[in-house]
Amino acid sequence: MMTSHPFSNMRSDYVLGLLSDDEKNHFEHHLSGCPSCRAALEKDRQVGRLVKQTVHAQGNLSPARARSLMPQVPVRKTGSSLPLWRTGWVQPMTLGGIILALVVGFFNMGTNRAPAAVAATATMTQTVAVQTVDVVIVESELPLPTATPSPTPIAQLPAFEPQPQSAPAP
Amino acid sequence: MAFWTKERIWLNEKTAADLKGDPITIALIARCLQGETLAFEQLYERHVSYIYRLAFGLLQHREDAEEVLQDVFEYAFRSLKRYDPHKSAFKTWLYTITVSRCRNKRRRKWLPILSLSQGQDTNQDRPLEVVDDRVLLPEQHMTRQSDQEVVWQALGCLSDKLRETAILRYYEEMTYQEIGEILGIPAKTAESRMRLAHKALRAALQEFMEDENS
Repeated sequence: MMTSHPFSNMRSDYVLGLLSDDEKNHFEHHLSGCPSCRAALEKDRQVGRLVKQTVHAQGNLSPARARSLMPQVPVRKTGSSLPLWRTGWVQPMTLGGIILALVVGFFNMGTNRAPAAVAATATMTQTVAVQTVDVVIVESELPLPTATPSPTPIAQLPAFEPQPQSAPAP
Repeated sequence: MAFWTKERIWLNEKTAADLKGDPITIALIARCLQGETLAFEQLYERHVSYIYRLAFGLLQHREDAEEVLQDVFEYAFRSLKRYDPHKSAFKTWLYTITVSRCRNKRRRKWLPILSLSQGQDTNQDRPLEVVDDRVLLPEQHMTRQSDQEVVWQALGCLSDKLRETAILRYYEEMTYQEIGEILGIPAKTAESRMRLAHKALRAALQEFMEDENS
């Protein structure tokens, strides 16, 4: 039966840099007189070397490919790169313009709306009065007026009194 | 966040000594934060190769590694203000992002561990052109590629956790403290993972190493 070397665990720890200073000195002292440990140590070191070489060689990236993979550089939003409407002097100017437009619009709206409202009211009154008069004339069988009468207020109009119809002639 | 002020960059002489990482990278980051496009390009060129190697080593898939590479730098460029040079080196910060992105990628793809037969069949995972190999004779080139395939497959046989640790230790030569920081584990856990990874790799490469030595 093969017995394991008493320093076999220490050997890999030595290669991996896991020994304390005392342990390191102790192992190095042993190493000077043990050829089998020196040979095994070389293999332990070789593992690290092979991995390093392989990762280096496998992960080789050509400069052109590396350049093509570079992500876009983030744009820093400073004064010059901001859109015009967000720059320092344009913003108050825009705000002032909007306020001015609102004030002018308000006054314009006030002066135009008053006559329009009056005219609309008068027209409506007249139409209602004329229609009422027409109805009264037709129902009372009075002759039509030759001239257009001035609109009569609704309150002054005679009340509608339907007359009894005469019986038809035999 | 103490290092970078809101928009202006200033390097306090008192704290400059505590900064981690190389001063050139820190100067480049400062220029990036001032909005210099050229500085972004230089920062990218300075770090792209080892980030790609780490991603490719962890994922063992070229397209996935390229996607992760883009993702890592896109995130790093956007989040450059969040990087604190007092806490860790820029390289360590990038490694942390890379490992995290690789884990996400694996999770999404449910990448199976490559077996030896799978590795031989796929053209995708074949070794690439290596700059150093250009000086080799054709037969030497073939031998080198074959050797690399054996080691590559042995790496692929490791679990994800062990592979992460092994690559960070063997290739990047990081300390266990740094590996712990990147992987989000205690340094002692990183040490024990490394022991397991080394043991597994040594067993997998035993025959190959004996052949090579003889």
